[in-house]
Amino acid sequence: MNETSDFVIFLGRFHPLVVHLPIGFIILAAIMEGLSYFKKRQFDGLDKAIAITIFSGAIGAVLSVAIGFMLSKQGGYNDQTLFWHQWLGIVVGVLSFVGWTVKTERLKLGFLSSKVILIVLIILISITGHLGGNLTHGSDYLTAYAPGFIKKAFGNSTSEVALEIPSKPDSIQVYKHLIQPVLNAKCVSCHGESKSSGNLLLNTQEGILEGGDDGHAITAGKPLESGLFKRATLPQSSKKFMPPKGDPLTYSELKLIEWWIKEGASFEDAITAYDIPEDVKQLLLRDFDIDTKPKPYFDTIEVPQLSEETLLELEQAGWMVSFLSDGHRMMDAGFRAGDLSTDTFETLLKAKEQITWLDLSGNPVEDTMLKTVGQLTNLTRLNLSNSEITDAGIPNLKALVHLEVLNLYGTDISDESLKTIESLSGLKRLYLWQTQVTTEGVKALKEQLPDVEVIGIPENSASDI
Amino acid sequence: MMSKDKLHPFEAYNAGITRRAFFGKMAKGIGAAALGTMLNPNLLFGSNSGMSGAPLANDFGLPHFPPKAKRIIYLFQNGAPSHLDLFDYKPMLRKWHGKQIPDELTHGKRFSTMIGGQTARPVIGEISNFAQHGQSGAWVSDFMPKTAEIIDDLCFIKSMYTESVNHAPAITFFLTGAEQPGRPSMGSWLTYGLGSTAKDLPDFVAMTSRDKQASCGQIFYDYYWGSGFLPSKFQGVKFRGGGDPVLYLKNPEGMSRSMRREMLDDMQALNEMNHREYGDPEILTRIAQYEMSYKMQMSVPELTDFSDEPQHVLDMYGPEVHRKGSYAYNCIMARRLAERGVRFIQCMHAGWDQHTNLNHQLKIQCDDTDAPSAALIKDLKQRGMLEDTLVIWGGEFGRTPFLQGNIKDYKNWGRDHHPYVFSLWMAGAGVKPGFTYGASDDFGFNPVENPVHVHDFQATVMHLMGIDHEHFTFKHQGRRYRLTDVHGHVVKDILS
Repeated sequence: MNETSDFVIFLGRFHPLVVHLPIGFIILAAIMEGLSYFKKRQFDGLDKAIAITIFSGAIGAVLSVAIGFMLSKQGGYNDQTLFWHQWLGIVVGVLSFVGWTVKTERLKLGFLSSKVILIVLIILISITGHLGGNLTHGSDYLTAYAPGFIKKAFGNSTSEVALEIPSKPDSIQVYKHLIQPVLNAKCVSCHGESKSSGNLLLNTQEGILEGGDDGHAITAGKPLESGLFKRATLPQSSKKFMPPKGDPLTYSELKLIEWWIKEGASFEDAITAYDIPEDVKQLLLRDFDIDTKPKPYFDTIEVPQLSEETLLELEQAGWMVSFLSDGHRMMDAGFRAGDLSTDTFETLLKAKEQITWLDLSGNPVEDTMLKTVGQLTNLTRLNLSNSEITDAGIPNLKALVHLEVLNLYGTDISDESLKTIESLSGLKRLYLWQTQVTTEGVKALKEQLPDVEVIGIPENSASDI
Repeated sequence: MMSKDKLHPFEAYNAGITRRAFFGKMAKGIGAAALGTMLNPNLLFGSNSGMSGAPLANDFGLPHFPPKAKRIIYLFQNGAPSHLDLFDYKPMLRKWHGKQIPDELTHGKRFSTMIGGQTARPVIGEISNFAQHGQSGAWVSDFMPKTAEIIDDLCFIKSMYTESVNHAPAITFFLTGAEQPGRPSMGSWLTYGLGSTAKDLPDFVAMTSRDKQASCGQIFYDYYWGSGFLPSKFQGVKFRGGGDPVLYLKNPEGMSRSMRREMLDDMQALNEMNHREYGDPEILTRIAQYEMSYKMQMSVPELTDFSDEPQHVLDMYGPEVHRKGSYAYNCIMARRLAERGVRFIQCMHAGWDQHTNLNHQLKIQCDDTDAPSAALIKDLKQRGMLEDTLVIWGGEFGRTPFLQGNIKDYKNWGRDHHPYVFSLWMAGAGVKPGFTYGASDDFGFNPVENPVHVHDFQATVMHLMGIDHEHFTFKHQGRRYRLTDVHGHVVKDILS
């Protein structure tokens, strides 16, 4: 392939121009033949002209075949289509000469009159021309924008149904959901099934890994050493710029491809497998509505749906429960009214996994009741403010590692409780206004949980000032 | 998508009655099938107050997603505080002080009729002094020293803009999404859609205050907290600014509470009979309101009794905290209402319309409101309530960078209405603390970065309450309405 000189390909590229000569001549010959057959009186004596036209067509066909052959050296065409296009083209050339000899009565083939030969030629030219079109433009060129019923007739009605992007970020695969659709839309018409320019296939993983005549399409980790990224980012005036026709890749498409190659160009990884740079995050949100912000804990876990009966039981025990939102299984619970007892708390265990927000503020919650609360391990917010709990109750909460907000304001707890709170590794905010906790206690807590924000205790104690 | 398209209950009821069935019913009394729905107001009103024992997500499919905010305290500053003298620091103003504002800015722009004939429009520098505060380094005027202390809890939008140049339409636009009265206000939409959380208080309470000198001709129209075409059960209950916040808290002499109860039970039975006959949802509203009044006879005296407040908390709100009808009183009341589960608390303070008295009145307004606003934030924060309470502070528009009046007449300086850019702040549930979004140009005249329209603001507030504003509609007079009309984009960048 590399031996083919540029000049041969230069000539070869005149093929699409030259092919129209024989097509025109043959059609003209057929028209004249038809006229002299159906309207003999009016169009008598065209035979000589027909002969000349067929002969011109034959010369044109041979010429087309010759430079077509040169063009095929450029490579990148579908082999099977090329085979048929080439041989049918040769047959057209040969048959045109046969037609000429028959017309000029140099040869007599009995049943094969010049009329029959011209009809056959027109059929052959149509087929050859169509195959040629498929070679240059891709096999779906004609049908891509056809009305649905035509597509259906050709059996490719399922034209590019937009790929549904999953809602959970950890099921969004970078390649499958973000990169492949771009390649399909902008590259595969030339680097795919119907045509493989530069011997590069971008429609399959194997093809992408294998690369093409120009070498690797992808060099994992190095976007600018990857042909795919490099050529799509060249100046558009460069003859190596990709894609040569159609819309160039957009900023966000390039950005995502660059990011994908940088992260190792995996074909399986989900977007959550990587650190996503801030600008890529913004593009994901803007163009794909993919929110990569860390999700709250209650959105990341699967719990069973509570039955109506259980909900009713909770209601009857005095709990006010509601789902976080329509269709959400996690729950927000508070105490409505009535007497709080250990039994009341026992009912909460029926929604042990589901309750993630619990508001007990202002209720006479006692230390022993916290035993039950401590079993609600999916709690992310717990409000015990203005309740009757003391240091004796807090150790019950040790297992609540997903707790993010703990409100203990207005209770009698002291530094003693902070020893348990230290182990709540998920804690983000702790409310301690109007408690016995001291500035020193908070300082010690901060050593264990440096990120926790403590609200309600002065940062400096009086003795520090 | 909200699949269950809500008709007005009255329309829904009427839709169920064919002419023949109607006459049949008149003859026979009442269809048994109708009875079931009539007796259970929740079926019609979509409230998940738990009255029916069904605790769950209401029949609107709301909230659409887990809410960041469970309740809202809207500190509405009627009259339009000057963004240029309070939060939007523009050093250019003092450099241009006394010079005519560039025509390019003002050409073709509408202002109020008060400066219609005034051709001299000199820029005036801010009348206060600005300094940066907190870790966020936000600029705050020295008129707002207490707000400066809580600056790192606030999220500013400095690129707000609106449509109207006059107070009532602009306020109505902010609160109801339309300039003409008649649409439900934000609080009505939210309480209607999300249901009840308060045990024995209304879910939507409005309170008003005004400046002591009554320097500002602002009127509080009832439709600022009206329910529009939503059932009137969802209108805000306005607490009075003097005496008892609601009338008739005490039963007349000789009427015991149990006697009152029996009377109400009998009246409810009569009302229900009437409702079965006519199907007017306003009868249900009436029943609900009698019940609410009965509950408030118990709950309101406790609500307004500040004796359980520690002195240092009262002090934070300032000296006016005990004066009923003051902004300070309303602020501490807002906190107490929020603690009792009230979903939407709308405090409106009139006094910011400085057309001719900028140089003395603005400072007075700040003195009266700065400490209470800041105290409310501090107070909510120390109680952990900023976790799920959204506080909004803002007016209906801003004020012009140029002078209204004569520059030599220092005493009567003013600034005119300016809808093209202004500032507001939010704090609490779901918004980034210590953050500023958007910016105005060097004159504080137009937004130059991330403009936020009133509908965008409303969409964002709905979002914080767990509602997709595009999918919460109410069908009225043949078309579906929403708070944001057909506009609005959630300002995602301010969400925490």
